[in-house]
Amino acid sequence: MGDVDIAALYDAWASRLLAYMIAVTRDRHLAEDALQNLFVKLATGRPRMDDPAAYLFRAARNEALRVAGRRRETPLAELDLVAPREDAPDSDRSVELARALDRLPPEQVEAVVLHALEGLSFREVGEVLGIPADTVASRYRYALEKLRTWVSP
Amino acid sequence: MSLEESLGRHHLRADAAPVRARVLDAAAAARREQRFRRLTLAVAAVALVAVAPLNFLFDGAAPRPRDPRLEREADLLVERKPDPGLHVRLRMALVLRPGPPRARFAGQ
Repeated sequence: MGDVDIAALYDAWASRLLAYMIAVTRDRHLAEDALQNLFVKLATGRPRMDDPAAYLFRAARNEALRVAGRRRETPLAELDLVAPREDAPDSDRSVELARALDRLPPEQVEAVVLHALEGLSFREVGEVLGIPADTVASRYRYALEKLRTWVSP
Repeated sequence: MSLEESLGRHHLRADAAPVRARVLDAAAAARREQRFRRLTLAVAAVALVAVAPLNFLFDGAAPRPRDPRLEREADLLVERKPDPGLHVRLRMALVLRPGPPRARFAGQ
């Protein structure tokens, strides 16, 4: 197996992974360190790239948790992480959504972030979190029920 | 707009460009170091495979012929006078001869 093109991989994935790592560590500097560690491991290891999203997000999560040591309590709303997509700039409810996400339990936040915001399937989210897809779907459903009561339609 | 639609119109945003050079430099350095380590291990393995049989070969070979000059010197020393340290010096002189251990001590 040849070496992975790290520069191409970085350009394709680094911003999404960094954002997710910030969401996990709640600290941009820690997330940058974790991102560097992740790419060093990708450069020297044999990454399994048959499902890059699941693989990279899982590796990113593991590295972010390792670097962070424990979760910090900085709210997502303060990190300016949630933003409208480039193709939907007129639907900016990012502050409201971030505040609502901050009220959810961490495991439900991860389900919403990875499925709804990052676009991973339940199966992929399950691989990232190391839990069955059904459990992810359940967490997501519970999270949406709560979010509906907190976010204005 | 439903909540799910609203969530779908948002994403997590962070710019990884400011740390691109740092991260790629670290990754390239790690990859170089790994290649060097692998190369060193390969060279060491080849050297071991090449040298190990030679050691057995020499070890089992017949002892080399003694150095006539050293033999003469030893004879002279013996003839000159009785010397309590003579045996030790001779032994040391023989030990310092080149060749594998079996060849060095073969004549003693």
